[in-house]
Parts: sequence; structure tokens; C-alpha cells
Amino acid sequence: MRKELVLLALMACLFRPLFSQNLNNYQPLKSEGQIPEEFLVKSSEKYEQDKIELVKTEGRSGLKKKDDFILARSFVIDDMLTSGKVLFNDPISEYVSRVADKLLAKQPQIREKLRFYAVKSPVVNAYTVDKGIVFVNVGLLAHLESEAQLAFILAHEVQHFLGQHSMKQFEQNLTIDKDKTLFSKDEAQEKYLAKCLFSKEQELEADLAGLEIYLESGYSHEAIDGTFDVLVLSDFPYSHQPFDYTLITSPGTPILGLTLPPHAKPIVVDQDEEHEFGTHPSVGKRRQAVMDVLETKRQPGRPFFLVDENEFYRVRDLARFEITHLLLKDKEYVLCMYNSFLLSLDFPNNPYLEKKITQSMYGISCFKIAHKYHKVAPDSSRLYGVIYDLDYVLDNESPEKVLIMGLNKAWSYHQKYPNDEEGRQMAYDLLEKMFDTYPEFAKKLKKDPPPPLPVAMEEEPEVEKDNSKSKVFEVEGYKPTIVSGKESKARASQGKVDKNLEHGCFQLFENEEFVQKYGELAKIEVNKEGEEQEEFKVWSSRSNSWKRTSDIVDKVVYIKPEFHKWDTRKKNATRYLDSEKGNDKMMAWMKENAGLNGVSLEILNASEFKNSDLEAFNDMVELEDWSERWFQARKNDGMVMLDRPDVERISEKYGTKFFGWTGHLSLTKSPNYLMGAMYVCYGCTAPIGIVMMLRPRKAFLHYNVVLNVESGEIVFASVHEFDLSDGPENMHSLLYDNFIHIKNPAK
Amino acid sequence: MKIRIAILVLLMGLGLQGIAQHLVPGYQGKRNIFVAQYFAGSNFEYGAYSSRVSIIDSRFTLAYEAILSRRLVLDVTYDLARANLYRYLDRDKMFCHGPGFGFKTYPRGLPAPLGVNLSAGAKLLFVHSNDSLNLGSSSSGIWKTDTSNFGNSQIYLGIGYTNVIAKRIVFDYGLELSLPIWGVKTILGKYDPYENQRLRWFYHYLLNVKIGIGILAF
Repeated sequence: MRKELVLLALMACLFRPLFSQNLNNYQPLKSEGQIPEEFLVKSSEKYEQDKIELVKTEGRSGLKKKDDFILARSFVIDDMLTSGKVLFNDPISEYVSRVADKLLAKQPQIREKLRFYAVKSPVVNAYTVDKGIVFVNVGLLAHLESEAQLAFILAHEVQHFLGQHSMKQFEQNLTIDKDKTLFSKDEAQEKYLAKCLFSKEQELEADLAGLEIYLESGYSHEAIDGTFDVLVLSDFPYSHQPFDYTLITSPGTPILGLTLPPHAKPIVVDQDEEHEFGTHPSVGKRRQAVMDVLETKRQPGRPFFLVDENEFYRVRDLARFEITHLLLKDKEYVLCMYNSFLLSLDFPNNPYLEKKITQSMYGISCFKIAHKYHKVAPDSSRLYGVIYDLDYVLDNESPEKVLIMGLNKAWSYHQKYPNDEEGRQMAYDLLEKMFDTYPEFAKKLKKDPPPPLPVAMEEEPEVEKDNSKSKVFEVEGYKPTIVSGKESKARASQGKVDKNLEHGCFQLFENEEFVQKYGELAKIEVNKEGEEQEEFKVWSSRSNSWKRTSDIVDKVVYIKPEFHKWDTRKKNATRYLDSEKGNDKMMAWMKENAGLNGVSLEILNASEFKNSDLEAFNDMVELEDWSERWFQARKNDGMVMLDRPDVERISEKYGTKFFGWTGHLSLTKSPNYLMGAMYVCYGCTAPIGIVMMLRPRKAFLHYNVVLNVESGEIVFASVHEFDLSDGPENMHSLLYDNFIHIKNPAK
Repeated sequence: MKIRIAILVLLMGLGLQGIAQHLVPGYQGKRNIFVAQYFAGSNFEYGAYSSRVSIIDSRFTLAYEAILSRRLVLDVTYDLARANLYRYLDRDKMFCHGPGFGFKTYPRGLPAPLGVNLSAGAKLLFVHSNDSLNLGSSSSGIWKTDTSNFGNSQIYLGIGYTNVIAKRIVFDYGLELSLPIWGVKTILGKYDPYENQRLRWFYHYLLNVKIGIGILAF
């Protein structure tokens, strides 16, 4: 008994991150533990180190050839690592690393060169960079069916590293670009095609050599076929269940008959279809090549799980929960809603999933009434199966009807979870939007239930068959369902308000809070014109402008200042090293000029962190993420910001609610030869002309935004565009000017 | 009188600066600049038979610049000028000193005092020409100059560029066109210039190239 308890305690310690996550109140994944060294070392230092190593192994000639590659590699990888999308020491990265341990148990010398990180992306993908870093998207984990499938994909990625494929691709690209004999007509297109062909060869090589690594491990051979199925269906949801439309109509009473498409569109994917300009061969070809080799070496009965089956499912659940968050962030509302629905089948009555569905409906309603639904509609490549039906319904129903659906959803969520501030905001906002957009309709809402609809009937829809493709991959078990009755067969034409739509909120009139808010709004005459003018004033796109509110600012925390230097005269326009130096200088100058103005300044930037600064690193990621969503919410017709982070905690921690985002883009262009020549020709202005012809043109763009994270308001915003160099005098002048405005509130 | 005018102009400048809006950034908060400038220029005279230089102007200027707003700078100057007057057969030298004031505007770009500026203002010139200054000249014949003191005034229009080259050092350069407007009798001496000489100051423009080094004082 005691041994069991000890074992249980050990297990609990091992899976601490998994158990610490309460799925009812799911929190987006965060990095944990110590920040790995490679996140903190400057890109230029890595580049210098790589250069020394390259000279040792390949000499000066090797360096000359590969210098551009190792330079770009250091900076691009570091950009990715510090982007906030890459997770470390989190449950998913940890699990992937453990699977890699099993996979490479017999090749420890390879294993120790590799690091595995999860990437917060819903896309089904994994990729390797030359430095031994393997990125595995959360979306991939969400789609996999077994640990062995993950191991097969990791084996493929490991082979990319061992084969130094990205370096080879770079060299090949250079060779193709320089070759003037093979490519004459349509040069650019032919060259691109040649590069794609090389990439496809590498992918096949990685499949076959990766298979050898995989076969050496103890994982099941049967899992491989399923891995290719995952790849074929990577554009679609991880499962295919009929959607429960009552989730988005009035809860409990589906009074709003929805119009489903007359023809279902099952998922039909041609696995042999190959994109000429794609980087990967067709899945069919890859599957065939792997199966041919496997045929002779197949050993049945090997396990699908070597680490732990339960842990795989737990990690997969985490990944699935995480992608609902990521899809919502990417404004993929339909996919988020369906994904949440699928999860709710396994996790019924989960408040987090209910919130995601509500948030999705809120987002769709906002875009729909702004007649911008097309901006959030799923990509056409995904419009099959249930997603097609859902999109069809939301696209074809009138904006008023979708708004009523969103309103019902938001208010019922608010009623159920009154302490959720975001739920309240969504509910209030949709009601306000209804009065703003359709004031007449809003005032006519009826409190009594509508006349009963005919009994709902389920009908089997006709299925469109596509026989044009030679070999298709069909998903079975897809059966769309019609929620409403025969009446819904007569499709509501777009823009036409349904007969019973005025009764659409009758249940909400039982809610006192709704009645009170409705009453308040019904009395107000909205001055829509005035509001639009105000919005325009704030966001007028003058090249040099600034805005300041009356808040008193004593301290600002800047998140990841950016500095990019481009020289369009050079082949590789991005000046990586100069950009890094420029960023360091700009941060020093920011501190100096803030100090001169009496503004206390703190900068959250990866280069300023130590290994133990995890909390600050996560705060940086969270605020970066918050700012992205803030801009989205601001752009999207004043939507409520969804998934607002705990800004109160952050502002308390840093002693300020004012956080800033600033960036600088510096450009060097060729001299203005034409103007210079004209000046020279004129005679007495010849000296000016000569200077113009010799001196490269400089320009820069600088932005600086300070937000009050608690209220979400802009406190200070400036955008400057100058035909000037980014020398210290100009930067000091600009930064001082910015901070003087930050310090002094507008009167 | 000269001192009074100079003090008046200085006070005007400081007063204007005092009432300027508090959000004037200057350069890192420095809104007062003392500049030492050197002007060199000439006036071309278009005669009936030939065109030639008639005046070569060489001028040292001490200027105080007060940044009044993001786009406006008050310029108070004191000139020490030395002019060589070329005539048909000989050359005379004249010495002049005088206060002036004007404004510079920085129409676009970063806040003053950086970047391209346009300037305009007025200067009082107290011209002093005497033998001691004419020792080196070959003044003879009918154009021989005598000691003379007279007043003149100019308006000037300029275009320039100001840059910060070190922590508190500004460098500016540009072109300045001086246009005489009227002459006044001076308090320094008799009003008896040769007509021809006076007219040279009176009716001809001076186009100067200027360079200057300044200190961002406070």
C-alpha cells in the first residue's frame, strides 16, 4: 500500500503540469521552468559562434558560401523562439521530448543534439530547423491517433536535421538562381519549380530515412498508414460528427428554423493530387514509397504507445483545448465553434467550451451585422462536411437572424455565469449593436413566444458525388442533420427577416437584467453619425500624427521593441546585424529620453531576461498576444476583446497599467540619380546634384503606442514617417518628443 | 540706442519663449541655443559691359536661438561684418556691426531645431568705414573713401539645415539672402558717406553661404 502511494506521488510529480490544468477552466498553455539558454543568447552571438564552427569544418570558402544562410538562420530562428508562439517545458513539449527519447533510445548521440518545442498553432504541421530544433504544432497533436504516429512524424523531422536539408535547400536555391544556362524562358517560374522539385526529393528522402529510424524504435508498424491519413485530412477537423444546431439557436427552444444546404458536401480528398508549386509530394506518393519499404520489414504486434497511452490522450485533449483558443484568436469562429462542440461531446457541461461557442457566435454576429462575414468564413479548402453546412447556414441567414442567435447565446451564457465579466460585456455589446444597427427592429422585439413551428423532421440530404477524381479518400460516417422542419426548406433570402424573428428573444425578456438594459437602450436615440466621425478622427492616417489622452502616466512598460533595418540596394535587404544593434541602441535611447522626461521605463525583451525570468517572459508573451487581439478587436467594429488576460495582475505586478509597443523600420535606398543629374545639368546647382548622386537615400517609419491595459484605451499613439537617417540625433529628437507627450497629458 | 534695441529684442525673445506652450520638446529638452556663425557671400553687379563681383561680404555672427514651438524658433543675432567693396579701379573695406532678429520655421520633419529650416528677419547695420580700416586698400583717385559712418537695415531670407553632431553641439549650414531696405543716420558719427558707396549697400542684395556651430545650452 505504501509503495503504491509513493508511486502515485511520483506519478503526480511527473504529470504535474497535466494535472494542474483544470479543463473546466482551461487556461491557455504557457511555458514553464527555466528559460532555455538558446532563447536568451543574442542572434549575433549565435551567428559568430556558427561562423567559427563553419570555418573550422569547411574553411573560409565554406563560410563565404554559407555566410548568408547562417546569418539568416540565426535571426529567423530567434525571431521564432521569442515570438511567444514557442512553448518550453510545457506539458506538450515535455511529452513530445519523451516520445523522442523513446524513438531515439538507440541513438543517444543524435538525441542529445535535438530540442523539441510545441508551437501554438492550430495548423497540422511540424518542422525542423538546422540547429537541431524541432517545432511541433499543437494542431498536429490534436489530430493524431496514437503516440506511434507522433514518433513517425518526429523520425521524419529528425531526418531533416540529420540530412541538413534546410542548408542543402539553401545551396540548391543559390545554384538555381545563379544558373543561366538551364532557365531561359519564364525564368522565375522555372526556377521556382526546380526549387520545389528539390524540396519534394528531400521530403521523400526524409520519409524513407526517417522510416529507418522509426523501425529501429519499438513503435508499431501499423501506425504509419494512419499517419498519412492524418496528413490527408489535415485541413479538416479532427473528428466528423453532426453538429448540434441547438447550440446556436435559442437554447431549449429551436424557434429559429435554419436553412441547411440542399446538397451535402462530404469530405473528398484526392490523396494523389500534387501541387506543382508545393514543397511536398502528394501524400499518396509518400504513402506508397513508405509502404513499399515497409512491406519487406513489417513486424506486427508492436505497441502504439511506449511512453504512456493515458498521457497521450491527456496531452491530445490539452492540444484540442488549446486549438479552440488559437482558432478563436485567428478569428476562425466557425472552426472554433465546431471544435468546441466536438470537445463538448467528451467533456459535457464544460464552462470553457460553452464560453468558446458563445465567443464564436459573438464574433460571427459582429462580423455578420457589419456585412463582413466573408472575412471570418472558413477557407474554401475547408468547406466540406459539417463545416460546409455550418458556413452555409451562417452565410445565408440574414444578419438580423444571426444577431438574434448570437444575442440569445450571449445572454444565456451571461445568465448562467454572471461572474464572467467577458460574458456580460458580450451580452451588453450585442444588444447595443442591435440598437445601433437595426434600431427599428430592436424596438419591435416581442416578449411573447411565437406560434409553434411544424415538428422538426430529419431528412437525408442529397450528396453531391464527385467522380472526376481517380482515387479519392472519403470520410465515412458524415451525416448532416436538419434541425428545423419543412418550413425551413423555403430558404430565407439574404437580408430578409424571418416572420417570427421578432419573437427571437422572447425568453430573454424573462431576464430582469436584459429587460432593464433593453429598456435603457430603447430610450436612447443613437447619434451614429457623430460616433463615426470620432472614430475617423482618431484613426485618420496622416503620415505623421500623434494622439494623447488626459491620463497621467508615470511609468510605462514596453513590450518587445522592434527595430528593422533594410537596405534595398543589397540582395538580402534585411540587415540582421544592424537591426539587432539598432534595437539595442533604441532601447538605451528610450531609457535615456524617458528618464529626461521623468517617465519610469521598463522594457520586456528576451535579450534582457535571465534564465529564471520565466514569469516576465510569460508576461511578455501574454501582453504581446493581448495587443494583437486588442488591435483585432479595435479593427473589427469595436468588438469586445475576447479572452482578455489577467491584466489586473500584470498591472499590479509592474506598478502601472500603461504598456507600450514601439517599432522602427529604417530604409536605405539607392541615390536619386535622376534628380541628381538634373541638378548637375542646371549648372550652379551641380554640387547639390553630385551629393544627391553619391548619397543613398534614407527613410524611416516609427510608431509608438501606449495603452491602458485595464480600460483598453489608447493613451498615446504616434506614427512618424521621415526621409531621414536613423542616426542618434534624429532618434533622440523623436524619442524625446514621444516621451514628452507620454509624460504630459492632453488638456 | 543700439543697446536698447538689442535688449528689447532679447527680452521679446525670452518673453515669447516664456509664453510658448509647455510641450515644446527642443532637443532632449534643450530649448536655447547659442550659435557662432560665419557668413561668406558676394554680390554680383551686372554692368553694361561686364558682370563682376562688387562686394565680398565676410561676417561673423553670434546668435541666440530660442525654440518657441515644435516648428518655430526665435533668432536674435549680433553681426560683426567686414565687407570688401570692389569698384572699377580699387577696393575699399568697410566694417559694420549690428543687431538683428528673426524667426526660423521648421516646416516638416522632426521638431525644431533639427532639419530643414526657413528663416526670415531684419537686421540693423551700423556701417563704419575709415582710414584705419582702409590701410590695406589701394584707395585712390576720385573714388577714394573717407571716414564715414552710416546706418542701414536689411531684411533677410534664408534656407538652412540644422543637425546635432554631438551631445550638445549643433551644426547648421545654408544660404541667406540679405536685401537692404532703408538707411538711417547713426549715432556713431557723421552722416557723410559717398553716395556711390552707400548705394552699394542700399540697392544690392547679398547672397551669403553660412555655416555655424552652436551649443544647446539649457
